[in-house]
Amino acid sequence: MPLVIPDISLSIAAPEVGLAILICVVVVADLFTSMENKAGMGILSLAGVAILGLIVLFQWGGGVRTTFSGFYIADNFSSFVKMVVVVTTAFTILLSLQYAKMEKINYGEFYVMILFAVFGMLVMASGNDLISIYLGLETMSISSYVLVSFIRHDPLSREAGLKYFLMGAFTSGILLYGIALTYGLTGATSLTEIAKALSGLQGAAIIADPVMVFSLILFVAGFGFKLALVPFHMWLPDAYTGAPTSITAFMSVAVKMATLAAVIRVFFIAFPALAGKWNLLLWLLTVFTMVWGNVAAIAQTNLKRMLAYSSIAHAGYIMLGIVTTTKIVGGKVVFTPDGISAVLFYLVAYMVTNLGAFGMLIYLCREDFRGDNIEDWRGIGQDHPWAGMAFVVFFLSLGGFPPTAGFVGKLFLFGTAIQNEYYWLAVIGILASAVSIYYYFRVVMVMYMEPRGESQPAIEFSKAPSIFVALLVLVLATIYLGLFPGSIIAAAKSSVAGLL
Amino acid sequence: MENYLLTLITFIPLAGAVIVMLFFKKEQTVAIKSFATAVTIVDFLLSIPLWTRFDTSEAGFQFVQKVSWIPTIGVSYFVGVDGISVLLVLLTTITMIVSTVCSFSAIVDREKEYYVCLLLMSTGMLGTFMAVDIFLFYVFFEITLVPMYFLIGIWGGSRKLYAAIKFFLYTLFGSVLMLLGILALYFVNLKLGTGTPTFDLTELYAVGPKIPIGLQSWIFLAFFVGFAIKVPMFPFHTWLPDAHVEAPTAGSVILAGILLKMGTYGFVRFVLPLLPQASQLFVPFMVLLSIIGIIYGALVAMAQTDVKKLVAYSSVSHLGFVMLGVFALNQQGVLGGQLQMINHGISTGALFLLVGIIYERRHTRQISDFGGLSTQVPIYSTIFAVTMLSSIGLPGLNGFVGEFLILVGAFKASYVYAAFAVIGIVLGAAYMLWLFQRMFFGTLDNPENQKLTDCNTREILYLLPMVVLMFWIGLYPRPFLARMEVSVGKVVKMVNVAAAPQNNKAASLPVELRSRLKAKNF
Repeated sequence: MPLVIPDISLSIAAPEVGLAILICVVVVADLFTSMENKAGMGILSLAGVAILGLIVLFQWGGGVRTTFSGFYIADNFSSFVKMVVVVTTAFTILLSLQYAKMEKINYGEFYVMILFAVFGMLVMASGNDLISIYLGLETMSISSYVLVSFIRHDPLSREAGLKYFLMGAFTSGILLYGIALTYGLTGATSLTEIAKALSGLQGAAIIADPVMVFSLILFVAGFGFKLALVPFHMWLPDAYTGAPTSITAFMSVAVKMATLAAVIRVFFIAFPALAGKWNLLLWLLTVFTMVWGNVAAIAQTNLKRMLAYSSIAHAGYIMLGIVTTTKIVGGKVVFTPDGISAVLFYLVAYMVTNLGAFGMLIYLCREDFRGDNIEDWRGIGQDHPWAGMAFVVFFLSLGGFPPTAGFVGKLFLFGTAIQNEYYWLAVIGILASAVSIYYYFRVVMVMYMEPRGESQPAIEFSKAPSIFVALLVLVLATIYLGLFPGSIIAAAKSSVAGLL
Repeated sequence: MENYLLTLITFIPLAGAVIVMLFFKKEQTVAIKSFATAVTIVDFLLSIPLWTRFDTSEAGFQFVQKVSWIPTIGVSYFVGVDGISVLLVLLTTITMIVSTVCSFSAIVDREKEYYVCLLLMSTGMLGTFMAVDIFLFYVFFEITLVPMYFLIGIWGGSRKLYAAIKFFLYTLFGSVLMLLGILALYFVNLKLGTGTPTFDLTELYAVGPKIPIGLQSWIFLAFFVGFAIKVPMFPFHTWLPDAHVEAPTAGSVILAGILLKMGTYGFVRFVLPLLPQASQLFVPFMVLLSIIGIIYGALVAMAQTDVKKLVAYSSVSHLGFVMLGVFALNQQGVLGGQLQMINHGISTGALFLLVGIIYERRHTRQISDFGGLSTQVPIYSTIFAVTMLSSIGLPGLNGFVGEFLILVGAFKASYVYAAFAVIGIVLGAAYMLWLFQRMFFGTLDNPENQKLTDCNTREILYLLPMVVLMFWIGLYPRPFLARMEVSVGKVVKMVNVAAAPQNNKAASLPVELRSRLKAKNF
């Protein structure tokens, strides 16, 4: 029997290949860099990521191509997701350059681990097979465990890392079990093959099997843990609070984006036949997530922790988009592509906003002082009107207020809900989002309406130009996307076009 | 020029705010004040052509400008004014001058931010009244919340933080539900209407009557919550006294004068013509809430010991009248409601200004601290008297014309409505006259009040336009009514004509059944 060599096209997988080269370059260059010049690794990574962005952009519109025996797929959807991940990474590095020095974590490995995580994300975005998706997920997860506990001298960070690791490892196990069961039932790991096995008469028998339903539940739980949907969210507040702030920002956007890409592919492409079942499960999780994320955030006094809970709530809104994409008319399942494009747009809006909000925390950070508590922001709006205003813009966008990116994002998400007649979900979600204004604006209140206490340290923002530039771009992008979302909407729509 | 006029009026305050932020230093308070005033005056001057060049025979939108904004979802930057909005726009530009000038001495800290907020507020409100695209409307509608939140929260009274967040959350809860209503309308239009995505009101008007009554009722409720909280109608009014009492004078004037009108305007602009059958269906409910508001507001106002709170509750009562007129669903009622919106803006705005003037001097608003003021401050007392009488609805002043029309409209709809409304008028006269009596008559026995100085020139100057308008509308309302009549007529026709076939169908149903039965029998 001749050995069949699977078709391998490195040009289709160009982003991953490029990134692998970049990682090697940074690792080697790191050996020859003195401790004082480690920020140079950041700059090197940033330059590499910029090139990576160009490669991804170049792949846009190239049609649907698979390689590695169908393990890997490159289409507009994967390019869109990769673009979001790459841009997030660029901002993360930009925000880290000075911050890493202040937290005394200025090692070359810091940037290398970020790049490793990005590698996993890119693979997930292009995963067309449960195996490749799982491999990407693990690469991403293991790198983020390291990143979360990177502030070794801070017990909070170590604790966060340990918690995140234990929960994450457990979750991966659950997901792997789900994959194994699915493979056992369908005999396939490829997403399209699974879908084929589940269709027709034979498929009906598999679907009726309780083991298949169990496997589906494992998938929902596994991805639910990764996305921190309530009730699988317990690890998130601790992990996000303990992690270096720039990593929190990175995880809240990029990890979520990559996981969602996997969720979208797995549920919509592999399991359309089971849509009625997983949709119901996700409906429940969405409601819990939106409500609990917002309610729990109200009680927080630590701003970073509050933003962590708010990111749980935002995962809820995003899931609302996934749930409402599915419409079941008389037992037949119809997918509305606009729901997925709404999710993609929302993630872009969320990216600029959330990176900005965490960026503000970094902006206030000094060697001996972290601006993590709400109290630390007392009176800042009065003495530093521009910084205060930037934060207000981010809060408005997080709360879904026009004319910011967050508003347009929510408009699309809730638009799909209304279109597909998920009225109760829409009402619950939009009321929950109105609640969120309460805690966002509590910070605004502290910033503008309460005088700074006598005993509080004087306000001193970071003087690093990289942080300033990043924040400026993010503020402008938040407003720009609120006023002129057209081009991103069009891109989101065309990235979904061939998917469902 | 004509095409850009509305855009200019809307965005000049915004440009002013940006200039203040960028080019003025915190310490240059006099320069900031003069600049802000200049901006509002220029804005008002630009809005004068809306009065002089307005075509009173045209029911549709005038001075329109339409530019595609987000074409993928059919959003356009579409502004225009018609009889329903033109006077509100003018009221806004006038009120903005007044509230800027009245703040000169009242606001003594963080002036720069204050005038920036005022100017931003102005852009938000003007945009709300001019938007013909619902998306655009919603954007402006929401934007107004933010500067108002700051106005109350930073420059407010002792419970400012509570009042600010309460105002913000209350209104927000309503408006997000309204957003769902807007989205429902948008998708219904995709299904039943032209099929092209649009938020353009003029196109959505056509699809409104075709919406099945069940869905229409839900959309009605979504809009109702949004606008009723803003008005505020009876069970949703609790944010209003807090916000009014804690807000600085200018904030109260803007709140009462314009912000509340965004609610009543919303009903006339969107709810009646877009959801005619549902509007008809909910008339008893709406009228009931309005009447409760009228009487409850008046009774609570009577029991107040704080002047500002009294005026705040009187707003609940007055806006009950407006809503009663609007939901009489006939020409006189809606026209009266429209005029009464303007009247309330003028007279209640002036009352808040007057309360602000006395508060600046005495730092108290308790009615019991005053008494016998008429001899000490004659000019102030005279203006207060005129304003009070205008608020009561004395013939010859503006309030009378509006209330009269509303009563005629209500009477035509049902005399039960009118009977209750009349009770409200009597109560309104009672609390206002009693207030006046306690503050201005009797003996001037409080030594603090004997040091009181009368209005200065600046104060007289900014009160004057209000008083002039009170007499103008009271004695010669023709030009005001003429501008509104045709557009109001169109709305009334839309809400009634569209409802007619539905009613006929319902009425003809038994006839049809009977004929069928007959056919079977024979």
